[in-house]
Amino acid sequence: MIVMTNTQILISIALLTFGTMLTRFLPFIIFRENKEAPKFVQYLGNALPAAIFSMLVVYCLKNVQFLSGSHGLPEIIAILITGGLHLWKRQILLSIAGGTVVYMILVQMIF
Amino acid sequence: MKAELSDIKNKTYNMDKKQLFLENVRVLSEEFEIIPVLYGSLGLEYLTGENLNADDVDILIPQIYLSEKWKCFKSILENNGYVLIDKHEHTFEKAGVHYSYASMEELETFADISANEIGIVTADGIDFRLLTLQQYLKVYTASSKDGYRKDVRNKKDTEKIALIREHLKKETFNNVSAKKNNVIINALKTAFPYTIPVFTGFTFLGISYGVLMTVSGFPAWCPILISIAVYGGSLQFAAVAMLLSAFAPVEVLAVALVVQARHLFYGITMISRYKNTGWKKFFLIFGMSDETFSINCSTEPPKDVDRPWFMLWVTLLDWAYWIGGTAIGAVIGNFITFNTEGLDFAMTAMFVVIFIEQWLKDKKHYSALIGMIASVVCLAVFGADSFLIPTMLCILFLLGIFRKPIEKAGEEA
Repeated sequence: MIVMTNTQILISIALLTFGTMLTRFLPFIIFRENKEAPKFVQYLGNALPAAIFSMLVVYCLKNVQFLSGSHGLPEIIAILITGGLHLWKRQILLSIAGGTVVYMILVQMIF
Repeated sequence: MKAELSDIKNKTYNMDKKQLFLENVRVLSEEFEIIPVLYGSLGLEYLTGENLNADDVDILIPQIYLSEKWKCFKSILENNGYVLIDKHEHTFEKAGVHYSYASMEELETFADISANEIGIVTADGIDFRLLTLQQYLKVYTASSKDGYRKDVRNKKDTEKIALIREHLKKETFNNVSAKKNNVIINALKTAFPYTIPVFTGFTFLGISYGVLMTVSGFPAWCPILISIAVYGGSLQFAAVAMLLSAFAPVEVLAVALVVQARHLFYGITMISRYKNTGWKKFFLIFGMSDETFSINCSTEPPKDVDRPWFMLWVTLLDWAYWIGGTAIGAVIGNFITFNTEGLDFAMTAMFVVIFIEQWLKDKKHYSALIGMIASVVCLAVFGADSFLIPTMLCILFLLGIFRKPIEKAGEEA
């Protein structure tokens, strides 16, 4: 059920946009290109991505109740399927679609 | 009226001159197998297409026909109706038109252009040589230093030099534009294959998002607009629940900042790679999604590909796929009758895939493990709604502490 008015929705969208743009543009504004970024920042540029991606996976699972209900089994199984498919074929569509389909089946029919 | 008539007369008159020239060449080639140079103003007219009111037909032939074989040459022309009127200038006349012959070899001494350098043109099945614009420029520049021409024909020559320069400018401009278009298209051709995985992922995810939004009650334009303006899958999915709740601007902005905060890290990474990209920089930064970041961050296009354009195409293509997928989902969402629960798992699957790709790339996995541990711990401590910022702070802290081993591992890779 949508409870907001169209205007409120548009304002919300604008805020989402603004927040996103801020996070994207800020480093480029702070560290203007004519000056070299500090060494630590450069190091971060190389080291961060791996940590970020780990964080994102956890972020996607943040609402999963591992200690009750389904105990996160659909998620765990689906992730294993996704990972397995990917390590096997390295095909993004296959991995994502396969994992999602499995998850949907598990969540709708089994758990 | 009067001016028009004489204008037409001049045009046809000069058109005929080219024909007359060709007739003359036919005689020369049949009798002597000469491939002469169409020289002077008429030649320049031919090249540029401009009407220069050429007085005579100036022709260059091998020196030998003006010396040893002159008698023979002269009599052949006379048999064809050409009358010698100026022996010194080797000028003949036929039907009121003057034909002046000079030596090809002189061109070499005069302007340093040898006969072989002059290209051959064919008209009406007859071959003759024609100087290029560059070569004409050489000739007129050299002759403007010649005493006789300087006094008598100076103005005409400087006009011609200006005309040639203009045409040369147009030529280089066309070549540069053509080259530029090739650069852009070349970059696109190179970029596209890299974006195919994103195409499949984003189309699928985009459709999921579009469907999710429309089955939740939003009009089709809504998810499409969001996909265009925000272009951030994780935030867009997270925002579905928020948009279904009561108006809460502060919370919306806070969530946006927290969820998208990782872009701060992307930006730091890309500062050096997005240098010197001019106007493209805005779009490169605006469209810096996880996937685009991954590709632009890690891909070195081949040497002959323009890197800024490559990165821009990756950005634009990924963005287009996302919008396209959303649009499809938004449209078909209304026709979905089956249970779509769990469709948003596609997001999780995507990040799992990206994570695996990164893991396979790295030799040592300090950073990935730091990210994993920090996230899980902070999640447990701070709860689902507030763990992102503490997580990022922890990551920064831990990356700082383990800097030496991580940098070392990076170098060994």
